[in-house]
Amino acid sequence: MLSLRTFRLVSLAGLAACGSGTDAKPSAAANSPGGTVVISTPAEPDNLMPPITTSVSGLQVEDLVFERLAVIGAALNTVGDAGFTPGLASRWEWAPDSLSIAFHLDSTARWHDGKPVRAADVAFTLALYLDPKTGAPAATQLGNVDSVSVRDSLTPVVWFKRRTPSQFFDVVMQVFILPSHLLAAADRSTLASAAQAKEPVGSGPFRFVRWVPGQVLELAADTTGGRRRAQLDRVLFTKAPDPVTAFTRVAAGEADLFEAVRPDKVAEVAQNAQLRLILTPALDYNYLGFNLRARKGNAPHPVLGDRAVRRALTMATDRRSIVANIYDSLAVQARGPFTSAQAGADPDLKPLPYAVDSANALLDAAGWTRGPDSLRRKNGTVLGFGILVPSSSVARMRASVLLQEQFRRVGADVKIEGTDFGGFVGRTTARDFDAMLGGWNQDAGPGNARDSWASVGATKGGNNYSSYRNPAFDAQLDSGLASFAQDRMRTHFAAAWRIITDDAPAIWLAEPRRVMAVHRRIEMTGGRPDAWWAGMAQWRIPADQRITRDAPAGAPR
Amino acid sequence: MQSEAAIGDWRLVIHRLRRDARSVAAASVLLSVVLVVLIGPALSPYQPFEQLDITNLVHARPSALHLLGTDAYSRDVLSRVLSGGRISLAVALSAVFIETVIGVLWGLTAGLAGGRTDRVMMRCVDAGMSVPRVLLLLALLAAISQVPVWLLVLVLGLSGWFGIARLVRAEARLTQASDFVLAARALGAGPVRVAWGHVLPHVLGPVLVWSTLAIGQVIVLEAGLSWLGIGVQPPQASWGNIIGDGAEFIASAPWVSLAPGFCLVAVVLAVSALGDGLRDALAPRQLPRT
Amino acid sequence: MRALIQRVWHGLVVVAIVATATFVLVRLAPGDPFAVALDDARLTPALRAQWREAYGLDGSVMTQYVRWLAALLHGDLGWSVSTSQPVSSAIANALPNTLLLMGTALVFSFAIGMGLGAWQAARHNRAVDRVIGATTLFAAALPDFWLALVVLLTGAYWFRVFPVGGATDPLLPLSASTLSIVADRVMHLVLPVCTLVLLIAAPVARQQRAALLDRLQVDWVRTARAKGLAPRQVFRRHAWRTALGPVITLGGLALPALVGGAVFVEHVFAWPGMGQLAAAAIAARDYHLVVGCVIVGAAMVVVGSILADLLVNHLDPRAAAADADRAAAGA
Repeated sequence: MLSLRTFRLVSLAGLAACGSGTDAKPSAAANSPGGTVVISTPAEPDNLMPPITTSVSGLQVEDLVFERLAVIGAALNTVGDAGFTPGLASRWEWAPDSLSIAFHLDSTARWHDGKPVRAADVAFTLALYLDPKTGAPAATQLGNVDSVSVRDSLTPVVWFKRRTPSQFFDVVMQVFILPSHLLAAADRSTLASAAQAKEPVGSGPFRFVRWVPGQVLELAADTTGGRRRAQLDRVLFTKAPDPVTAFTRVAAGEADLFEAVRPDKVAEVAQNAQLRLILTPALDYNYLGFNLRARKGNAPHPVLGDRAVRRALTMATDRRSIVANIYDSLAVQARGPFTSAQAGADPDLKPLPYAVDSANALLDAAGWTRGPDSLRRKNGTVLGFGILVPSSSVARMRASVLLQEQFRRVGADVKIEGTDFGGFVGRTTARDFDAMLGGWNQDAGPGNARDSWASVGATKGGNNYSSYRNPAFDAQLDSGLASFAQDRMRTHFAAAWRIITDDAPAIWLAEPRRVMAVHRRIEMTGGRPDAWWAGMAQWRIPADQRITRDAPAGAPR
Repeated sequence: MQSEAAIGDWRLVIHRLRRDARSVAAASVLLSVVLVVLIGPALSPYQPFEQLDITNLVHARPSALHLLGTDAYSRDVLSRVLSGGRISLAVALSAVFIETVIGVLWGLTAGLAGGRTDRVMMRCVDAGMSVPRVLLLLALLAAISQVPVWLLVLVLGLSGWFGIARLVRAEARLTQASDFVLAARALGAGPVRVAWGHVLPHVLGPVLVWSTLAIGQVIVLEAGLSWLGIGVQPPQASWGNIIGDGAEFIASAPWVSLAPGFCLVAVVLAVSALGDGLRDALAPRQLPRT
Repeated sequence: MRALIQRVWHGLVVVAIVATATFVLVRLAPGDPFAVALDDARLTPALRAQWREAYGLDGSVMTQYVRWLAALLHGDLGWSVSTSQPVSSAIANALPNTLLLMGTALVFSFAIGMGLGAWQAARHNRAVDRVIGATTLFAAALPDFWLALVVLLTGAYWFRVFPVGGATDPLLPLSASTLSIVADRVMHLVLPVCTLVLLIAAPVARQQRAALLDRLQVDWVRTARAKGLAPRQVFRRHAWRTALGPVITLGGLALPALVGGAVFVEHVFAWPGMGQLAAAAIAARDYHLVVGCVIVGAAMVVVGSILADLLVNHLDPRAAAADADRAAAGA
């Protein structure tokens, strides 16, 4: 067995290797572009039509094929445009009243079919995202966009309804600019079936080559445009049926990169001379969400509607051990509905402590008394509930079994309801559960917590599955979102996090860090917490380290 | 067909079985496994769901304290294998009982009714047989979404009776045309009486063989589903979900999956051997047919 | 000929029953075809409802069924939401892979299984018979998913001789020579085919042995023997030919079981075939794709059993009917 101590050494060694790899000064010969990166993944894009793509794997491909007007910095600041770097727009200027922004497009930008990128494309794209027929998930975040006018063929001007802290972030990060000449005729209500959704044409550093569903998706460096070309020749995403096989392909040398190495495989990666480990922060957190309402109903939940019960269960949870058991040292304990890498995080927040005695005392005081079978009851109701879990997720399944046992020790009768992912989604959205093991994969924006925990999301169409409602929380969150100064925003958010963790509508468990296994010859740069692939156009493989699969496509092997 | 195996000859069948070394060995293996899983949990030192120390006792090697080691949740594997065996065997036996009862009733009804009823009923059987059982189960379990053990048993039973129905129906058709059934009919026996008194005794032998073999299939099937995480739910152990829990750590902690895997293969092997022996004992001349 | 038309008609009825039952069954499951990314905080249930409507997946089951039937009459199996393509092209991608894998596995399994069974029958009750008997019994008792994992670990991971999974090397250039394309295919086929052969050959051998021993007892074989034909000749000329019947019937009837076993094998070896496609479609609540897969699968089974019957009838008309039922019991 791998002890925690050796493990930490391994991860440090991995980080060190990563650093030296990126800092190395490439020789002249190593400077020539070329090489292939094969990414092994168990997931596959739902489609490659940016407005309606919901999968992370789709986003990864789109980030390489398409371009945004500007790109967020690694600090993930979302207030104003601080830290943003040029994308399709080489510069931009704000109107004095901040109600419009003029973007100056890079005049050398070309679509992969050779046509130039024009301001009309930007206007078309935003109209497409905002059209209710399209049903773009980002439309809510773009609600503040009033219209787009075309000052000249290279200068679109985006007009806003109000001045907000995140108006720049919203319009540049939620939108990939699309070619109007290829999409104007498409039926907006069924964009997923348009040819472009399978074979996208963008303006990004890589152009689309082929997609054999279930097998491989191939991109190649675009060399037709006049802009700086990607340092790699090809990027391939190969689909594996499950994470274990996806990892195995990398370990066996058939692929170069796997983005979610499990803790028990870390030692194997460290011992593999071809691979190195890379740890980065991510924007995911896992939690046990309680349903504050009765299943499918509106009445308070007979057990979990009681704030004292939820607080007691939280204190009965040994989060540190659970996180260590599942992730070893590859995750930090989550403290609230946010991740440490986000701008609104509060590193000083003190969550409810792990204190079994207090938990028992709290339950006793609340009238939940232990019976002879050591289960607690109140007025004949057993302190019991089900935990809904997607059985395909190893980490969440593991967490549910660990929680079940810890809750049993304070007298709660918990049933695990493992179901396939479709059933998990169906029952969560229908609020047909007592408790569920959820996870949020967030973007850099500060508004995520509002969708998933504020009253506005508690209606049937919303993402607040716990149906948690507290006006004080809502108010602090909204004040934070309306703050133009980072520190004011943080103060409001911190107050909001204190309120919600006291109410305990959920037990926030872990913020897994991203653990990647990457072939040694690849020099990675430019990753962000929300997108490790962000700098892929600058990744390089030195010429003297190239292997067989780095040879250009079509060359004899 | 197999008229020599009618109900009165059971003593002969048992006599033949006892002379067959393979069947005796198989039966002893089965009996001892059943005994162990019945008595074992009472003797085992830990509760099967008890997580002893989730930070320091994860995947402990087999030792004097934990004869088969511990798993990813620091639970004692031996205690889980013993209690899991109970569930696996109980699930398999009950599921096979259900599929046998449904299959026999369906087959008898179709075979004795004949004509249109028979055709409609057999098309349904054909339909059931044309879908892989695993896919049928995946769809059924997805539809139910929340699966307590009794429901798992029911679903396993409901998805496996097509073969036996077909077998029984064929036997029923054959027997129905035989002289003694015609004679019984002439003497005024109703269809239920004919089915119960004349057809059933004749199909009992093949049905028994079929059911014995089906036990092996169902044990493996339940294991497969539990391996996929949609069978027996934690913290309840079954051989299948213990294998599933250990499968990801097969390289670093093989003891978790090996013990239940071994039990699984042993039981399936014993059941198939017994089924074979039973078939030979029922029809020692290899089902002669002219 | 009339019988054949009737069989085909029955087959169509069977497929229709299966399709309808599946159509209803998949919709009973809680879930939503537009739920690939629940963890995406932007994707609201309201939006999913809008998408359902756009792809004709709204309304009652009956409305959807009528809509689907109408499309089916135009040869349209519907749109697969989870794979973003028409159901027909999703199946067209997966079916050749399944046929290749199953075809290869079946040919080897039957060749090996029948050979072993015949060898056993010829050496009835001798050591060879017992050893092979014990081995096949053991092989038949191995859980399919377990065996696949072990084969994968050994062949691809510990020894690194064969690829870990998939049907082709994604890096193989489009301009590769035919020879290297074929070689690549073969390398990818070896492990899954080995697993399937281990699983399928055992029951075939057992059926073949039983059938041969059965036929050797039959009167006309005895007569032939009495007429002075050497045992070897009796075996080859008479017993062998008629004993093919039960084995072929087993092949026809066991097809669904084989496809079912292939679900696990395809899963472990990442083989992009029908089993994986169907299992993934069920999990993704991709209604049209599930129904499409089931229709194609059921049709394959129906055609398989008709072909098997025709073949058996051709070999030995008398025994055909009884064999079918006996094999059904064993399948």
